Amino acid sequence: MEAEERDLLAALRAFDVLLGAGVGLESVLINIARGGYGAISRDMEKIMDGVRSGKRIEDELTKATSRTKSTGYKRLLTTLKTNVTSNTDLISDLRRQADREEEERTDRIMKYIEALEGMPTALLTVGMLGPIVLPLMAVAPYLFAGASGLIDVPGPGVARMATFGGLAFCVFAMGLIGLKAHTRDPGV
Amino acid sequence: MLWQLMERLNDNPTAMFLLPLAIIGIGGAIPLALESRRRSSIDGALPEMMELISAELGAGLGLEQAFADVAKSRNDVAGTLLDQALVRAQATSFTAALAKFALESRSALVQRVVNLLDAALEQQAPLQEVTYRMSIEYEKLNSLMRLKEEKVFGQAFTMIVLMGLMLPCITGFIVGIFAPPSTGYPLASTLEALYLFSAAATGITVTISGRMLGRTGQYLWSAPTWMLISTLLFQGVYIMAGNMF
Repeated sequence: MEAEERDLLAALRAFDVLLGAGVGLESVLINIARGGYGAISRDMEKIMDGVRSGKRIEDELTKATSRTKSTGYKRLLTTLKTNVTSNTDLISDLRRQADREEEERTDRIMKYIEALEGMPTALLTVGMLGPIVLPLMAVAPYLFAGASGLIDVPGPGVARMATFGGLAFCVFAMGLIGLKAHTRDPGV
Repeated sequence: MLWQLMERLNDNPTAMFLLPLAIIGIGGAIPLALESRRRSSIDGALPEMMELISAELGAGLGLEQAFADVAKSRNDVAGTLLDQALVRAQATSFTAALAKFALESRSALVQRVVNLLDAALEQQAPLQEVTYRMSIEYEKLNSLMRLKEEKVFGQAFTMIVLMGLMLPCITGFIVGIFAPPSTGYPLASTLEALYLFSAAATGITVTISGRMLGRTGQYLWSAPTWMLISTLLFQGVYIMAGNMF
């Protein structure tokens, strides 16, 4: 998930509220750039810095569109640019986009909840198998001490190393399973 | 009895290491838990406050009067904070009072609302419509967050119970049955590794649960306590099972 998408819906609603209240586009951009909308605020600040240095707002919006990887934010910038160049009905366009973003956000949360459903089972499987199977390996040299002529039994040192390595691997695997909770977070 | 328990604790270096960390961790987790509860109470009250303000504006009252009425009608944290901010506004200005309210709420949602209201006030925009739309928007956001919290909390709780309480009991019991101290196997270092594993597995689970709920900091502070409980449970069940069979 791109950084801009976390605050996109809030920014879209802010555009809607401020433009609907009769505030001009440039003032809205300045307002958003003041902060509170994360990566979007920082990007708007860059846009306004460009405008203040004498560049055209549509050129700065085009530049920002090429900078971002977020589809939703790209769509917002394109809508703003189209409004500047063609004077479209910006408020209704942004409202439609905000509704669409809202649906996507709900979907993302549902998918996140679904993705986490199997996690307790996966963690328990790894967490259980490790400490049950691996201590047996550590005990094996003593259990099979009398049968050393019949089967190859590793020495206590090797068995201990294998047990410790296995347990460390289990902890690492649990961490990897849990990483899903971070990487798939929809950021609401 | 107490000396015996202390003696047993000496056999578990992981527990000895975690004991002071757990005490410190509890001290760190409690303020964060209280802050999280306070902030969710403020965020939860926001849509209702906005709706009430919108209704008051529709009835012809000014924004300042509408805020004062809302502050008086609520006896929760948000109402108290707003009331305090409005009292201070008598010495400063209404905008300064709103800014103070946003700052003291320490809530990103409130700060956004105040920022938008501030901009709308500057432009003399129709605030009734603005506040009404905000109330709907934040109501939707709050329901979505509540839904996520309800669904994810069940999983996070299950994970902590399974990994922090059940797993050390089961593994301690199995290891205690098959390799009790009476067998004389030199397993001291393996046991130490298992104590450490119990604690590490629980620590990872608690951190994951915190991340799922969006309260990583709070759960990280409480992780040493859970890790200590887990490793002590493992040791206790191992000794009990070893003595029973």
